[in-house]
Amino acid sequence: MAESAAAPGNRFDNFVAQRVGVEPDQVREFRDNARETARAAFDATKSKVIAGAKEGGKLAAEGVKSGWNALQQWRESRANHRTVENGTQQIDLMQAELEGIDQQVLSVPPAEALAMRGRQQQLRGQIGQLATERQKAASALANYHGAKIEQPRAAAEAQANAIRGLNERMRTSEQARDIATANFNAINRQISILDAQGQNTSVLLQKLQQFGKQIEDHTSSINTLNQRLGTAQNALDAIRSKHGKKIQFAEQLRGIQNDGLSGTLAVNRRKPEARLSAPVSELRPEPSAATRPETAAPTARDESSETRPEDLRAIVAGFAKFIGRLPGQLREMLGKLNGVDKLPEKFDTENVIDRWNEFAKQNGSGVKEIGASDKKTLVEMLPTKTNFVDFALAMRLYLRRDSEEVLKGIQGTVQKFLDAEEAKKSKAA
Amino acid sequence: MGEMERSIESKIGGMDAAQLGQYLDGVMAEHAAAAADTAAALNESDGVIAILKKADNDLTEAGEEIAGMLLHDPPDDEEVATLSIKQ
Repeated sequence: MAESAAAPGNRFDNFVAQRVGVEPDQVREFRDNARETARAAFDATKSKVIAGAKEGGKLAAEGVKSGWNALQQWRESRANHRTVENGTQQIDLMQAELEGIDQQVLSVPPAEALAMRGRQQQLRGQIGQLATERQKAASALANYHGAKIEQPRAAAEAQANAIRGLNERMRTSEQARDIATANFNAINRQISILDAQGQNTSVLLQKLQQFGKQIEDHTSSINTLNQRLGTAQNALDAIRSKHGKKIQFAEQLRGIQNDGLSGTLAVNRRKPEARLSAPVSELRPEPSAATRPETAAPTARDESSETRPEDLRAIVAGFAKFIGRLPGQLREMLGKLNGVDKLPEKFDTENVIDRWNEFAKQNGSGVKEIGASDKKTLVEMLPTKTNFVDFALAMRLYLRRDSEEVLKGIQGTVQKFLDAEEAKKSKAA
Repeated sequence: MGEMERSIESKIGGMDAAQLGQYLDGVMAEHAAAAADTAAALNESDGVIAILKKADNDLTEAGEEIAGMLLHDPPDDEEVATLSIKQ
């Protein structure tokens, strides 16, 4: 580190001061402040970022496993569906052949008749076997889809019965209303007669008024019930119309389950382009670093002079942090670096500069190459093993660019680096 | 006048005010019971509609999820194999 080697530190400060056009003391002060700030900020977030990456990886792995299981079930259900469909077709064909033989067997020579009888026996055996397979597949399908199809189908069926019951009750109510209305009219006339006879009808008239109100309320309820039943009937018709195929499917499955020789599956197939885009996309998660065995194991860092790509990525991430930002994208990248559970304390300066140049050369704009003479100077100025803060500071001062621009370049470099790694892995796989 | 009314009229034709009052009490009670049955059926109809709506929703969801998966053409093995999923 710079503090542990005063002379190289001073030389470095002088070098930078000369380049930037400030006093060496200003460089030192700036470097010291920046180092402390960056170190504190990085330490504060490092553990959170790594923990987040691990948790994210775990969740992603669970998601993949769950998706995989769903996919397996789906494939099984598809195979069962085909077993039922093919079984139905074959059974139909064989039964037709059996019937044909029945019609011919009595009118052919004995030898041919014997052969036909043999064929019949063979067909019956095959039909029995197919029926059993189809029944089993239908049961598996019914189990797979049961709750999703059978329950709403049964609910709709039960409500159809309920609607019939309500309709009967409504007819009874309408009859009651008609009787009440007839009574009202007849009583009303009788009251007029009694009134003409001079009898006291005032109490009767009061009661009749109450009765009239009762009938009005009753009629209103019947009308409302009538409307509701119409709505319910329409809803049921809509269900039958809209979901007819699913209901039919559920009923057919039930039929085949109950009797392996009855029922057919007549389901429409959609055009290939309409296939399952949503489920497939759900089962195609973004590959997660945590799910890749080759990157899953966290690595303990050594402090050898060899600077590995992971180190470089950590350095670049540290650099981004140093220049004052850790954008979401970069944080995400860092999270994906599953192997980075501990940033290297020190690395080989020359090696890292070579790496830096290698990527600057490959990726073009954004990251400037460090020239040979400057590299020599930097290697001389910086300790052989330094920490990322010192290096980052040197780079920043060296590049003499706006933080935003540097960050953008670094992000591009990191992304390209990750992409190149992915491509290598894919190629190797 | 309808047949029902004529029938009722023949029954109550000779009644005096007191008898007619008793008869009226009887039909009002009968009518109240019929009206209560209708009100109960009305409440029941709400439940019927609610369950039908739920069945419709459930079947729609099932349709989106399952009909797309099974009733329609599922992906081929090759397509599935292209998914970069490893357990």
